[in-house]
Amino acid sequence: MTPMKVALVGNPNVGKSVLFNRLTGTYVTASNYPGTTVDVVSGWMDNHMISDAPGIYSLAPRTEEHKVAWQVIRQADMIVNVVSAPSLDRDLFLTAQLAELRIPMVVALNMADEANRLGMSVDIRSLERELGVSVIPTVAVTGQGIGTLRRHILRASPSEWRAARPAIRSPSPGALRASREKADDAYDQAVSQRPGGAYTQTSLADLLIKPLWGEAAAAVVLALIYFLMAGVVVGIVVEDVLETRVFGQFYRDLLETGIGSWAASIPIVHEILMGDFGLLTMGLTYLLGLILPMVFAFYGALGLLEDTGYLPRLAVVSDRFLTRVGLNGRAVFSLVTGLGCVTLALMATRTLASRERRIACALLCLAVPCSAQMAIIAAMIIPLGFGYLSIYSAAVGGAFLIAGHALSALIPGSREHLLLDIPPLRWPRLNNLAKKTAARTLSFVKEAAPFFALGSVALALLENLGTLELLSALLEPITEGWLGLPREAALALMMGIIRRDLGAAGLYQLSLTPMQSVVGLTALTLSVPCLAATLILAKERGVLEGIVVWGGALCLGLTAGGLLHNLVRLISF
Amino acid sequence: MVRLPLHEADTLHQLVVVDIRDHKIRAQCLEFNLRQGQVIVVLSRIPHGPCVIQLQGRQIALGEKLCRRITVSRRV
Repeated sequence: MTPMKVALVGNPNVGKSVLFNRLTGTYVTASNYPGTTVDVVSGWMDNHMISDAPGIYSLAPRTEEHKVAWQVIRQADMIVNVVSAPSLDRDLFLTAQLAELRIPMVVALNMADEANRLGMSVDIRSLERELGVSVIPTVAVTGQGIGTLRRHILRASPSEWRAARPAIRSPSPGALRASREKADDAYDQAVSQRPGGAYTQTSLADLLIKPLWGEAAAAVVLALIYFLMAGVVVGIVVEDVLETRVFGQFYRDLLETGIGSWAASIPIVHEILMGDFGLLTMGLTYLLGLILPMVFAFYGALGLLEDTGYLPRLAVVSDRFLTRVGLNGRAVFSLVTGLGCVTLALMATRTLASRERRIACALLCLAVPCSAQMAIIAAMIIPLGFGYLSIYSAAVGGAFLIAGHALSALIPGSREHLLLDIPPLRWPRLNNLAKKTAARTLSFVKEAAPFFALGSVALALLENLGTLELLSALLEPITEGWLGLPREAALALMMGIIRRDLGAAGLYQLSLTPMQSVVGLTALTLSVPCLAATLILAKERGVLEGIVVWGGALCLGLTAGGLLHNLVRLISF
Repeated sequence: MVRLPLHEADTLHQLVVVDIRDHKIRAQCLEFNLRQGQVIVVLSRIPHGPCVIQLQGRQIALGEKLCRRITVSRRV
């Protein structure tokens, strides 16, 4: 029997992903900001395939994520329209449009508890009568009403399936007005008490969007993240515990006594497993002892920012700055996601409506160091002191600004205005935060481990065959001539093409002066999109645009690194 | 009644949306239930930056250029 396809459709940030997790038992990332889901995620509930679509405000196909959501709707045998009870006046607009498609539908009135707290009273029977579909109150985070919703989906009559597939079309202004009127009628009939001004809630939530206070709060948040990474993770976990005790003594002794004498008898095996670039020495030590703790800590901090609802407030205070580089505050979501993983950030550019802005944002996202790369950057720069950290930050930030202005002038396109829902500040749910951090860290290990293993083996073999020497000589004009780095740094730059963190690890291996470290890391941060990012670029933007963005990033990084080196050389003269 | 663009409106006063210029922006604002006749309050206005308004208990951030195209008047 063909499985029934059920689409979870609704406005952004109404709890679709949490509902998906509840219905299917499969974890997908859920956060407190609009636009968390940019791709379709599917899971199973008995023999029903449930798809979690990106959030949309209407059926007008404006952005890439709208088009993705439309594809899910077109395939669906049944729609579960998730609406947020406190924002019912807004959400019923989409409900009215979905009802026009004549696909079997049920409305999940989510966050019903929050609506009650706000003194809102929704008459379910009346809402059902007005909309002509069943309405089930739910509280996805606690599981309330999920059983009823599940039973309703499973009870849906097979005769109702396979409705006519609606074509993707942009609703006319008249149709939009009619949908708004229908939504208003339903709202007026069903809601007897409306949320008042009290929803503005805490004074902290107010301060975070105020001029000066908002910027000051952003600086405090960045400083806290810096101290968490530098002080706690690098200072205590990485340097004191892992580097010195676990990998410096215990692991090294274990390796020597375990396989040391056996590996020494076969030189090539010894080189691959225990050489300078060995699988069990460089590969495992860097991955588990250096990068993993930083990635875990970073994902924890990012999850906290996402779940509290701080990111949309950061979007508000950074809008003025991002508008100057041709973007708007929404780009913060892509850029902050880029700190986690660039590939995800490239996918998050789907939320931008114009092609020109997506290209510009993609290129700028590549200039953001990912968490794994940042782990090694932190390990290299923090011990050098605040001065070198400032030079590195200024070089990367300056290149970001100049590139942004240049992109804004070169590919003007249509400018988008910021129009963004600001969700209430919420206490993060520890359960979700822990699951999200664990899932992201596990996903990082799964993705990074094979590359680290392959990279270590390839490097060991190349070194053994003498090919490293040849490659270093070929790239000497760039590494030594332009960037002022030792010729072996060519290898790190090339390793960065496989994975950015692997490239940074390559630099970490070298004996560099403090300024060489800063130049090398600047070039590497800005220039080298990793293999995964390259593939996503080609998939999202097409091969030609992908090559343009990739080449642009490479030029930006090498130019910025070279200029920094030559500027410092000039000053020191 | 004094009409003024949203980006010039004082914060924490009740305002009525009088007009939204440009049909594309009007359609986009409709998705947020922001339209002519709605009562809003400006919660914050960042100089040369966005405004955050309160509408029906929700908060919405609007970029500066968008605010310039929305005309409001003080609610009497």
